[in-house]
Amino acid sequence: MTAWSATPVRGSPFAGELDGPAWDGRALLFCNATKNEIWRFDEAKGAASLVRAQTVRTRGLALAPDGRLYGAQTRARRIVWYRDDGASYYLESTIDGLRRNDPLHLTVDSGGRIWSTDRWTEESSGGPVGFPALSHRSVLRLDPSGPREPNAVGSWMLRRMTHDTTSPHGVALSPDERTLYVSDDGDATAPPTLRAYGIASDGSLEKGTVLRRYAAGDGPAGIAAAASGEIVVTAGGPGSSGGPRIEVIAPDDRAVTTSSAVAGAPTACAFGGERLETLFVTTAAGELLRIPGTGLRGVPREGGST
Amino acid sequence: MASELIPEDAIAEQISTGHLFTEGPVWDARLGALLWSDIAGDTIWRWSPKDGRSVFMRPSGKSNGLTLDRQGRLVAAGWTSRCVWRREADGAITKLVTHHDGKRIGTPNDIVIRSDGSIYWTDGTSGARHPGFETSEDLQIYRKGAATMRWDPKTGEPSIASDQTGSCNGLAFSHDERILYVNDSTARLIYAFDVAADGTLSGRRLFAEKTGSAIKVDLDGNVWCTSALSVTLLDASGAVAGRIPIPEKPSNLAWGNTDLVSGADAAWSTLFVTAQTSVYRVRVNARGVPVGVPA
Repeated sequence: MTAWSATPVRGSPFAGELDGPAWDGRALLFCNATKNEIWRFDEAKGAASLVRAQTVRTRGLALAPDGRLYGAQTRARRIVWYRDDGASYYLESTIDGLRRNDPLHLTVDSGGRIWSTDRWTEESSGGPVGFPALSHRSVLRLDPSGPREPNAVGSWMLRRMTHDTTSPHGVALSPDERTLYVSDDGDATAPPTLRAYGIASDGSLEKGTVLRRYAAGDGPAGIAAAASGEIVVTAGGPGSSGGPRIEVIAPDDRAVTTSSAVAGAPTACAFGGERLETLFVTTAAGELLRIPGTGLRGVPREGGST
Repeated sequence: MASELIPEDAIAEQISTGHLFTEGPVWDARLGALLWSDIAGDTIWRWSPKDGRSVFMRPSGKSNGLTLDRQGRLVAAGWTSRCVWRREADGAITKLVTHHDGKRIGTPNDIVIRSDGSIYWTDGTSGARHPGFETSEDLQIYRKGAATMRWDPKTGEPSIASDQTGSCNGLAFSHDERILYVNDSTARLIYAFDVAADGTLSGRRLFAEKTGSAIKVDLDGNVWCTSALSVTLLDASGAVAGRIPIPEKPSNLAWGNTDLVSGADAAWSTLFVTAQTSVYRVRVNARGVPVGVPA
């Protein structure tokens, strides 16, 4: 596969850090985290429009099989349901009686379970109460518990899924939903990694595998799985050893098959477009990049129907 | 700093602690007790010198500021339950305001009632941003900024009294109701407005700076407000006239009549202060403005 060429969409750069791209079936949703906004890029019109303001530092978005949009409000340490009528409702945000940390990226499986990364940042301790950090930074999962009315948020159970992560960042499911991919920022003692976990039939995670290790500051952030099994990650940033780039990683031998340089600091990626063959990339420099004709296809589940 | 209104030996005495975030104190003369909100604790507490502390209302819809109307009914700034509500004599809750201009109101923060029964509250946005303050209500903020709002008892309708009050938080009428004080707790200042007979506000001016999040007034025209780690006494010109240290960062304050004397002898000279995890009281030499009693 030859390296890809990314083009900023019209309107780029937006004034702020972009993150959390998600294809909603017809258009590409993304977050301007700095300005607390969600935007929608319409491919046919070639233009982006503001769809929601005051999003409390939402950085991750995901669509559920039933079409519901969920967002990770990092500063408020909660996942919310962004309803089509403009309202937002929060989902269970305590685990074993304690407030979760910051959710960052998230994905929803075919059972409606919401997998999210959970890390700790300076913003996590904000607010009048200042809830303390959890003793771990893990992938957490919200499981629906009990029946839900179409317009009601229902009840959820929040549970811890990983026990070996340092500071999880991106999260994605393999096309068959039997593997969970997690990018981990690492810390002063642990390098950034890309990890994989088998998902057992009872929904629990098997022991994790480190697929790739990265140099400090050069690690992976957002992840998108291709229907053919490749793992697409945004990695690096300006001045990092590998530079800002999009890597395509083969699932079998874990080798990087292509690495495409992009401008800025890529934060996340998602497949979109009519046939899910376009990769959209958000950057911390405010750019929404478009890579058409990737030769790969997204998983139809992610981001609704095609 | 000394003042004849603040005794030399004035010390804030802790009367309750172990809360998540205290706010909205109000002295209920009928109960002979203080009520306050623990917002994140989802509870309104009650305390009296005689009986100590007990739960008054739980869940509280994560209420924030509390006051009483002239009939003695509790009226609350509902914060993340996104409403202004009143507790009837039988304990039932009446939601007085939930929407304005077809949209859900913000997160009502603090609240006062004028003698004509109109309710003024600071309609903030920050309640929807803080972890642990959520309720099952819509958390989306629709208005761009905060505003000071008014509910008209004749029409039952809300309106914006002023959208020039920044990150408005605490508010209080002067005892003659000719001035409304509103503070901007982000800019840490207090604005004063002239109040017309019909309740409209005009003539906004800067009254004081380096203030905190709440205001109460006394019968002699002084203004008592929270600031960094104290209650600050301001004279009628806004100049600092005294301070009472508080061990935790105060959020709000209320006058109380702990002598349990009614009528003209009632002193209302105890200041109750909510501060983070605790509630404090301190006796001063001022005459506070009573709340929830017939004029």
